[in-house]
Amino acid sequence: MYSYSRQLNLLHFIIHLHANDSRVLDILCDDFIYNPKAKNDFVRSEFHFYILVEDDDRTIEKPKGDFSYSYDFEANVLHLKYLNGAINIDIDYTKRSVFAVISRSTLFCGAALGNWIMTIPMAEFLKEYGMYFIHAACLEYEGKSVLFAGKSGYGKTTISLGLMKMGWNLIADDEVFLFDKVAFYAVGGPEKAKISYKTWQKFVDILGETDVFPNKRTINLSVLFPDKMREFGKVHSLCLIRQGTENRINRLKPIDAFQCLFSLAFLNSNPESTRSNFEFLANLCRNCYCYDLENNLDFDSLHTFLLDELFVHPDRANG
Amino acid sequence: MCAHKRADEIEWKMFDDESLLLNVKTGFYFRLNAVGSYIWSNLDGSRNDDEIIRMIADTFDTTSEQARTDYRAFIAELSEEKLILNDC
Repeated sequence: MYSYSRQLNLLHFIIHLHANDSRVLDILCDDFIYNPKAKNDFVRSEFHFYILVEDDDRTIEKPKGDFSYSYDFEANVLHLKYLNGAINIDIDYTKRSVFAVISRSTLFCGAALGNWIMTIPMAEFLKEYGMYFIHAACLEYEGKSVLFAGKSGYGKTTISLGLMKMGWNLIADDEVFLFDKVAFYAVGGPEKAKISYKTWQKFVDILGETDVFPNKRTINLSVLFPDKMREFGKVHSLCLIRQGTENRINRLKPIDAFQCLFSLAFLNSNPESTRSNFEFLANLCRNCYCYDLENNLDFDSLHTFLLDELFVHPDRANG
Repeated sequence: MCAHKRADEIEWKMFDDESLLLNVKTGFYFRLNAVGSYIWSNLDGSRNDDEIIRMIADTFDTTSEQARTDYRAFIAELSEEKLILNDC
């Protein structure tokens, strides 16, 4: 699990470092996918990955996450589209290949580009190995890990920073891979976090002063919090988050948590993939404590509140 | 007398006394209450309508008439959503 996680991070890191140089994409294709150095390194060898960079006259002003997808039953191909068509990705389940056509103007998207063209397509194939990618933050405290799931903008990164400030360790702030091995385990995705200016202002005491806004919005969490990063953790509970006026928690029935998460967390494409998503998420929701968590961004009280509600009295919240 | 069977492309999971059905071809899912889940779990094609109606009346302590009405309405909905195969 450890080496796999690092490898994903490495891919993102390389793309980010070389975001203005399309040669990095050749390096990715040649060295990481086609020429596996270790025979058992399935991540590098189990599917074919192609990237075509198009020169066009598009101008992408900022990496906004507009996204759509459709599945072609006849061809058994999943089509993903980002940035109003500037990034098109076909995942061919039969040929086990990923074909990405991207506009040169998208190369500056850096880590986001790595996520779109690598992590999400890879996640489709990694299901075969029992690894499921979900859009959530995951934090650990004294050996217990909590998933915080919510749509973009609902505060996953903000909660992550706030709880790290209170002594929690970060597994991931936005992307998590889950494994069902005896218990459910979460493994972190990329260590870079997108931070809004508002979030930066709120955490300026720990993030430090910066002049990166408004053109750059990513920070490397492992640099800022080297002793607060964890590679993986055993999932204890799952919180569906939203911001509100107070800290309030309600126990959710597993079936309710499932309904909230099913379309939020997964791409449902071919029948086999959809079937395995269904199976996995149902088992996850039945095997951990599920909550609806409203939080008011007062992290001192949220920390105390979560310790009491989640870890000391997990059955007490109404459900 | 008809017998009904769950369609092959439907996955289902019980959550306590409720259940979720998923059509893996469309990605649409359906939530069933306790009575619906009980009926669904018995739609394996081995029992006909009358047998299942009798089981519902016994299990949920209701009249045969009420059980028959509820069962027929439920089967009609399942058929409309193509969740079951009908053998009449």
